[in-house]
Amino acid sequence: MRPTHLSGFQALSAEVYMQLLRLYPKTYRQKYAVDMQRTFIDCCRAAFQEGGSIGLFKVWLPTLADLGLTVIEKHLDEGLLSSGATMIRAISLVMLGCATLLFAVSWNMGIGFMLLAMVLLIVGALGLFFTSPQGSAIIKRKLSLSDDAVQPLSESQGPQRRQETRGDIIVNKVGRGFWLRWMSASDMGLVVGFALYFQLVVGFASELSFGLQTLISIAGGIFLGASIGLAQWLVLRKQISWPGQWIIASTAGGAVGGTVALIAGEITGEVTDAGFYGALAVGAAVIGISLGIAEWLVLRRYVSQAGWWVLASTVGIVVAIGLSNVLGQALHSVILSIVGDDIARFLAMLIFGGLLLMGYGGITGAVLVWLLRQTVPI
Amino acid sequence: MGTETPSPQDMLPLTPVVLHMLLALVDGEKHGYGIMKAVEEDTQGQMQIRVGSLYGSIQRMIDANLIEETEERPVPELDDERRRYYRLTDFGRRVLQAETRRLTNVVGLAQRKHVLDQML
Repeated sequence: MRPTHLSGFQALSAEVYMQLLRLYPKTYRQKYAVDMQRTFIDCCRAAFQEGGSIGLFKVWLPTLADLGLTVIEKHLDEGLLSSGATMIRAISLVMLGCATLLFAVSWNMGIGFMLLAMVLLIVGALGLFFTSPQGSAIIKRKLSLSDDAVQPLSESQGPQRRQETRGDIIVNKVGRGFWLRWMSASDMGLVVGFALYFQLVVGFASELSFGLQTLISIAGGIFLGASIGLAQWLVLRKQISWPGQWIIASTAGGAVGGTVALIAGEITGEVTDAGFYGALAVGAAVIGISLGIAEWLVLRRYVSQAGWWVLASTVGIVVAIGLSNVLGQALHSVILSIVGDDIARFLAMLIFGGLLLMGYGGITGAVLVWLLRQTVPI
Repeated sequence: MGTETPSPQDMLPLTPVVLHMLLALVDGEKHGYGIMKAVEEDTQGQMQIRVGSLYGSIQRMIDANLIEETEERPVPELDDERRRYYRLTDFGRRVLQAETRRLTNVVGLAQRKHVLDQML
């Protein structure tokens, strides 16, 4: 049910909650989702009337905690986590989520957090891979099972995807599901890659000579680009037949962007009085442009109006890395003067996190969906 | 294979959430939000059920035949017809009575032992 007669935060809350309800098992969702959303809207309305936007946040916090617990409970009730593979996949996803969060806070929490995040990331990624059709096929081959037994899930059980062929690419139907997958993967890639880049360039190399700094920024940029490219490749490979080039382009774009960003950031810091956050925003813009141009070189061969991609990438990274930090910091002091410190910190983190997530993954995902729906040149 | 119908005693003791949800429905059929608000008001805000838990409990209570969905609407013209309403079943009412008797006995026992006086 689409929320009607709601405004601003209420409508956004209802829409986000509707999407979150997709986490419940299908049968349960089919029966109760409309009612649950209706009830949640009523709660939001009452809370908004009572306490405005702060009231809405007070509804959201316990609702999210409750949702997390009841989603697991319902999946257990329906036996959907009973198979080992599904359980491992669910745990792997949780590990990836935790790794992303740890990477996000590791910028100023030190190398220990980053190492822990790295371990979680690797274990989570391995868990997802070995429970995928390709991964399970490898395991079965190693165990010398017959090829007949090795039938990928997508062929034996998965729903038939709607596909159309455009020249040498296959474009599956793209929509909200693709956008959500793209956003999750892109944001994870960005957070992980940027945390590594930041630790290397700002944390580790800041005291070194300019030459060494440049070398390290190239390495950091490669990590950043490869992390984003690899994460996006996981989504793209199911949509198109040329995803390998995406990783190469992103890595190259990250390397160039990461290096130029260091120089541009330093010049900004020295020449202007924009300070750390100004330098961060300029650096983010440089990385966004560089990544955008490199990926545009791949996209333009297959998609018309691919030039918009450069703008999407630039705006996305500036919003995600630059604006989120600047606004989060600025609003923290404003909110602090109105409410208590804990709530101010929470709201600032919410603004920071929201811009971070919606910024890069959200913007580039929306543009990519639009581009993939366009006609192909030639 | 026949399944034996449980007696109200088999369902006791009820969890606080189920007890208050049943109490909320004593006054008549309600939708999810109505139940939620009634429980909050009945307990002076001490018990707040969140949406996920509410519908989880509703599903379990339907499975246990304590409540059922109903087509009846208190004010049909003001309501969304897709919204589900719930009411007590006869069995649910008997379970609630049994639980109330059990709790009354508990309170009686506590009074006879002057528990509240000791606390003071």
